[in-house]
Amino acid sequence: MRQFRHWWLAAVLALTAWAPAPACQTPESSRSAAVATADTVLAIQTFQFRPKMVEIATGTRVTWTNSDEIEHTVTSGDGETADGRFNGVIDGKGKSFSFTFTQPGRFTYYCDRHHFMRGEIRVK
Amino acid sequence: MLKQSMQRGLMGLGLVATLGLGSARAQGTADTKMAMEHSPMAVTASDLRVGLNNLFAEHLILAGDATGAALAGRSDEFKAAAAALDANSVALSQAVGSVYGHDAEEAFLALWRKHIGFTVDYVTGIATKDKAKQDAAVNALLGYTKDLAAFLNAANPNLPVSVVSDLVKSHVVGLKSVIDNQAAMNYAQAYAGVRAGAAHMQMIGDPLAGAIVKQYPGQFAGMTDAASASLRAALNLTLREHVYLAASATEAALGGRSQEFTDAAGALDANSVQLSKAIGSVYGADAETAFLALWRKHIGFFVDYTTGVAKKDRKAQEKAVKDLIGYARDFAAFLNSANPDLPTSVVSELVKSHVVGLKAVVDAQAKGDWTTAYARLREAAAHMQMIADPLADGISKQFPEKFASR
Repeated sequence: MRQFRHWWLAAVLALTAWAPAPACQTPESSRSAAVATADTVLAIQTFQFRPKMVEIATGTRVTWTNSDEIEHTVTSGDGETADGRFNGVIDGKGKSFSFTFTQPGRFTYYCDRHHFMRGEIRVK
Repeated sequence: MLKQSMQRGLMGLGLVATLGLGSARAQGTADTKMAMEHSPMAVTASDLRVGLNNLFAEHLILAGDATGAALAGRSDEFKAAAAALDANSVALSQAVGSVYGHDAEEAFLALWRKHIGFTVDYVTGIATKDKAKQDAAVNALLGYTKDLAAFLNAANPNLPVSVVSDLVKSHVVGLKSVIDNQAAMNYAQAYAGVRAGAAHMQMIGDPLAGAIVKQYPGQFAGMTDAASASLRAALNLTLREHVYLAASATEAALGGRSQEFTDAAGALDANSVQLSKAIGSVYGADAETAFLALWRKHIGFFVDYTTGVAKKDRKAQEKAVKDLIGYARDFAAFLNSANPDLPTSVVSELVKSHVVGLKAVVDAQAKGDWTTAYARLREAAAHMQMIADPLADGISKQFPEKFASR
């Protein structure tokens, strides 16, 4: 039960405080008003991406917020090899990383420090 | 809160030493004995249950180590394992003595050592293929079960002779099976038997602790069968077993016994799965999966370290130690994320101590210094209580409806 409270807390915090866009994020120009949709906030807690899989509309900006007191990464790839699409280092509790998905498709990602942590974004 | 819990854990260890339920360093035991006289309620029912179970499970595991070494002809290792087993017997007898007095302590120790002697007879019969000796030893062991049951019943009428006798018989049969599998070099079954046998000891430790508390209701605060006490006992047993099985695996690896290493590692992984299920039962299936993956990582690093030691590859050893130290932070962060009452820095230090303790065991094994290896092994196992107790305490406080203390 407490985990859920933390998840919601992380979600609310991330929604109310926009995380600055890291360098590897999709260029601002590609996040045009036409494709911008509601943001999606994902939690990283207890060494898990929560939820593991989400479906979003094209143009959605996804923000991952770290609730663990350790560095995690959000690295696009199959869990073993990075594919270079995005790579955010989230170095500690309360830190975030955002990325805007401008093309439809299935995008898998993982934590480069803990390869067992894996997630998927399905962009319609 | 963790600090308090750690202090309680330390106190528990000290009080457990009062009961003889620990490595029983002489001075510490004397000091805490005096403290105990002034504070009879200081030892809780949960402390008693955890302490007895830890010792009984350790008995089975060390007995398995000793018989395995004896059957394989590793005589120096056998002597050290047998000495560690005897230290465990002394600690158990002190536990009995702390409740029933010095005479009972001596009588229990003599009786307890007898069944170890019969077990040695059985192993000798196997090693020399002397069927008559084996049969005589088995008969002596079965007869012994009645003696021990009668002793415990005389000390505590809440322990029926027939029930205790059957429980001890199961222990004897279980250990015999371990020995038979060791002799057949069927190590997968032998290690499975060690795990089952160690788990079975709880069938003796739990009723004994419960009966003692029932006999002396004013001496022990709380209840032995409270859900929080069960959680604490389970985490202690599983984490201590982790240390013992890890040491068995590294010892087999360093000894070049690849099949035994594989099977010990398999048993160690089964222990990891059990531990992750315990985490999952509290924090859910996803946390269970994450915990298992994380936990397995540090075992992998230990394999790296052991391989580095075996190959005398200094760089590989240093990298493995660095990975293990880094892992301590990860593991602590995981627990802190699951339970904010477990501070990352404190847990990290505790895990580091675990790593350092087990590293000392591996180093001693590599040198063939078996006396040191077994001494460090018992210390490393005892140290796991410093992790298990705060973890159990933190979970119990986080989910009081699930883990009631009464």
